[in-house]
Amino acid sequence: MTEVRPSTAARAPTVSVIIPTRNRAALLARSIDSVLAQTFRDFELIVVNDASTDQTRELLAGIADPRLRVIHREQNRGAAAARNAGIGIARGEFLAFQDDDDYWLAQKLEKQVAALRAAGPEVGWCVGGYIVLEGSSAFYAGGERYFRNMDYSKGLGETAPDWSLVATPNWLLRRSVLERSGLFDERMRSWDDWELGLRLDQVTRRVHVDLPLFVQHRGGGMMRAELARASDMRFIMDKHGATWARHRKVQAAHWYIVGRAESLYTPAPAGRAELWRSVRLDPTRAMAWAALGLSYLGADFTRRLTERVRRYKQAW
Amino acid sequence: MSAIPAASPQVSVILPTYNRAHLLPRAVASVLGQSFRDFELIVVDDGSKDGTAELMRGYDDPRIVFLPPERNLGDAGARMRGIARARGEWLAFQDSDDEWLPDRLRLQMDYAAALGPDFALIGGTLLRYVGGPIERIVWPLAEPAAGRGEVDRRRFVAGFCAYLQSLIVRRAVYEELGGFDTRLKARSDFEFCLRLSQRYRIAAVSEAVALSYETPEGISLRADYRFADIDHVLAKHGASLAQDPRAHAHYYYQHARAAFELGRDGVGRASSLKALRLDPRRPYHWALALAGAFGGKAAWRLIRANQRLKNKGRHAA
Repeated sequence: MTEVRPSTAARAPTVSVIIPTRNRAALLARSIDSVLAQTFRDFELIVVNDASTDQTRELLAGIADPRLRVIHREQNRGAAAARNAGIGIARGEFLAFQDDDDYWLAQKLEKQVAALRAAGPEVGWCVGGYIVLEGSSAFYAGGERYFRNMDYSKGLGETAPDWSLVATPNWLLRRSVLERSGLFDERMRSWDDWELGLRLDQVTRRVHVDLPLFVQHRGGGMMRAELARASDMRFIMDKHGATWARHRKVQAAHWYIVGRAESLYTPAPAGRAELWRSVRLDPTRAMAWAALGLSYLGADFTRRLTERVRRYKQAW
Repeated sequence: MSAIPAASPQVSVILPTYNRAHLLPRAVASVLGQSFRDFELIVVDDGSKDGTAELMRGYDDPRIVFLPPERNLGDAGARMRGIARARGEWLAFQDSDDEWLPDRLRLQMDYAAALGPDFALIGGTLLRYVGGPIERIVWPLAEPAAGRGEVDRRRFVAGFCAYLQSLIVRRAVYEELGGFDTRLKARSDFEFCLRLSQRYRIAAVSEAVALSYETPEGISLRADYRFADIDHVLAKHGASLAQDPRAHAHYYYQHARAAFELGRDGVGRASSLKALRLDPRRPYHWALALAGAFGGKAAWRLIRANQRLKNKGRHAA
């Protein structure tokens, strides 16, 4: 059963903002506030409560803004399905997505709506920069240079590793492009955004805003995220593997992602076969050789080493 | 907008503005969107002629106090006009071209409450985006790994981290110290914190609290203002700075840099030599003094190369 709190506004808004959320009541308020505080005010905010068991329902009931619409779902079916449910009731000309643990900077919608309007109807997708806060470091991701090099057909291994075009909080879409690309694939657990990006890239063009549009906090919860990504990558290689049939390096990079995560977080010999596959496809990939060697030394040792390297890198 | 709640808010946010109607909505939105809600936002219109008053009338948040233009007082004067109206126990400062991050007041107020009355000022990390990499301006903590704590006074005096947008300060202490010294052109905030640190303890959080979009022509990056301000601080606080030769040397080094940037080679040479004499252990004190001996052009080239190197380092991060 799904229960929808209807909008009290009569006219269709310019933008529909969709937030899927599950058991993040402590963070959700900040995420919602950063949407409601936008300088561009003509939007509806659709929060899809994916069967939370914490205070999410009470929190949402306490927000009086008439632009808020809520979908409560009885069964947890994942972020991709929650986003699709939001898209299902969206009325805006544009769609924006927000995550429950990020927050937008105040002009995110204003800048992206202006960019898409200026770009004309054949451009259906706007992306931009954002700020990553990780431990005591801060950096600007998704700037102009990164955008120029971004090419979905190159696969993940060859592109910059910060996923800035991939993360949905970075997007503003014309709702109409989804009629050609299709919706989020609900079988994905983590990379549903990248997978849809692959299809969007085939049906529309992108425009870029070189300004920080939102803030992402990283850290913690690496294991679950990486395992989910490994599983999604297997799925993507099944569904889209043909895209890179002649790019052995891309295939190698993708199998490395699967193999590294699984060898790091699950008991041996998980992941080892994928790492062997990766080095056979591309023997020049030193990191894959290293991961393969480490997979014989045990996951505990590797995790400690990885953590040390991370800290060393951050110190610089 | 006119209704004033009966009880005093915990924080008074002071936002002076002059002809920035195009940027003001961002600055205001990031204050109103704070997760800590017990504040008043005092917007001081310093004589804008671009529709600022109409824009501000469009807000219906009862926490906004709008002070319409009287006469142009300048940035510091307008800020003091706002402070005169403040009722909060704490003061916080917003600039019309900056953006606060949503948890900043909660982070700093929670920490202030935990520390108690010995601490008069709580800093936080300021992010600066000038197109490209993000610069982090941090308050030097006595124990950096802790993430928050008391500020190391010596490194604080030597640095210039005290940007108004990044701190909250007790209003009673602000008044006791007589407020800002308006003779400073760009960094009256730093000079104020320097005075405050002589009587009170300062703490800071390492979390980012605000994002500054200062353009390269921005007021605190202008070499002429920087030169005038350091000159003034050296004259006013020279005796106190002399107690710490290394901090004192750092001021002369900055003084020399600004002087070379302005083409005032004689002053630049004199100050670079003072910096070297006070703290000969710093290689860049030697480098600047040596380059200065070859002429202002050489020193200027060295400064530019140093800036480029710093930017490159930030790109790589």
